[in-house]
Amino acid sequence: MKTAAILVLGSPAPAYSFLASDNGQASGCSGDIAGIPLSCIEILGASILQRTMQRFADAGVDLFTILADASLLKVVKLANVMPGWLVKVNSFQGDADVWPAIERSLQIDFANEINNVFLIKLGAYAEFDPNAVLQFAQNNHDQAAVRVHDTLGSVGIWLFKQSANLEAAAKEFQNQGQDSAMKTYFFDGYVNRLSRMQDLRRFVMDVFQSRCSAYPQGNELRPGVWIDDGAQVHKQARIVPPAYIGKNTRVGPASLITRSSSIERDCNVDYGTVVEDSCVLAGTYIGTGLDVTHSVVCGNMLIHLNQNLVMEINDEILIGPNVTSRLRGVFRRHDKKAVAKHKDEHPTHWKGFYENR
Amino acid sequence: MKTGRPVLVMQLPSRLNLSEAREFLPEVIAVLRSDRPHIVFDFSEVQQIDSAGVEMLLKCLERVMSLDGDLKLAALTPQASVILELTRVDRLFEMFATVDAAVESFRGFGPRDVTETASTWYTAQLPSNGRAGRDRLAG
Repeated sequence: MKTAAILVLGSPAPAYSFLASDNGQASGCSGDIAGIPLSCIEILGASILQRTMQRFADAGVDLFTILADASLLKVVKLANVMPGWLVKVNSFQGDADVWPAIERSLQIDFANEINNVFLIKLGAYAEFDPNAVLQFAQNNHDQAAVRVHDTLGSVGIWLFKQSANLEAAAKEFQNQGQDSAMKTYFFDGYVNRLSRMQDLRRFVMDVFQSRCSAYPQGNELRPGVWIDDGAQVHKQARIVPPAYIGKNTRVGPASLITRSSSIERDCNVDYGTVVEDSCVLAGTYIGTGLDVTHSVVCGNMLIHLNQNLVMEINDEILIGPNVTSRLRGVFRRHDKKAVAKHKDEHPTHWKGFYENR
Repeated sequence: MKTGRPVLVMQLPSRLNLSEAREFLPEVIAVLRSDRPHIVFDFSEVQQIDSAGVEMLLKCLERVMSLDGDLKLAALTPQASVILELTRVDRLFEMFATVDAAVESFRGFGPRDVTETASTWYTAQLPSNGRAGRDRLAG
């Protein structure tokens, strides 16, 4: 029996609207991560999008369709979707076009003799068994549509068969009332709704403390310390477990990574800096002798979780995009291919930067 | 106990970056003529501060300390507070929620208090085969 999954990434939220505070200065955000859904941000080496796809692939899903707002297509393409999966990426324009795009994809899947299609409104990270949902539908007289709920309500996942009433499902998808004919599958596994930046931090803590089945990428070099490929940790740096150091990240001498902190790929934590109870997102430079505590840092954005504050720091001595270090390290051999690739991946980092400098 | 010594409250600009810091530092130095200056920096309008602003604060503190005075910070905005915490400068300054509280903190700690505190501490630390400590306890 063939199974497919449609993953929907909504239109980009206004910058940092997921931060639960009025203090967040949405207008002052850089374009780097502003408006990107939390499910696309790489955390502990993989995004929630990747982790969700892995879960469905493990359960035997053959075909994935990612539906994303046109402005998010580049983000999705950069999401490093695993090789070996059949993934189609389609776009829609604005909120009004979301359900028609889903309906088109469903019809294409059903026309290709796929019997079961999971619809996933990406946002929450939910650990459930897709096969258990299929079994539930089969046990309930081959139910045409099933919604997945946990104790707090919907987790944004539905299962449809060809005979499903899509009009009623559309209303439910758009939060305009429940489809009375649809059965509900309840599960009591781990769910993180990822509606705020604090939830992303909580996800990291939960992974480190084994409260969920997700795990950091890379090798666990000593208990609780995960180091990914190409990471350079100075011998005078101290890493207190649990901690994660991402791909090609450099942790300088006398620095301290402690209290469940994670440093994602292509970062540079400079001399004597302390990263405590924080997440440093991909491609970030943290300057010399700083104290980064209770924060999420990405490029020149600092999100202080305790104070509910978003700040743009326009001073690359403190924090900023990790361009110069990459130029010193990765590109010093004038590797034009690597430069072109990096430019493609991080176009904003190259704003106002001259190659001949 | 009132000291009678004036406390100078200085309003910082909303953007404390390199150019603003360059303009502001001479203003501070110009008023540092008196002995033991008491200065309060009012941060209520500071929305942005970078490494140059932090360096300016440290220079001011260094100058004020060399004249045996004190520099206190008041009404910090969350943005300024986060940067001071990030750069580990917060632990060097006394900080107050309002300017009035900062000014009042200078008033409540006079020269006689300093002398008394210092002499008490000095007596307790005297190397005198333990008698001083015992006497104090007994007294």
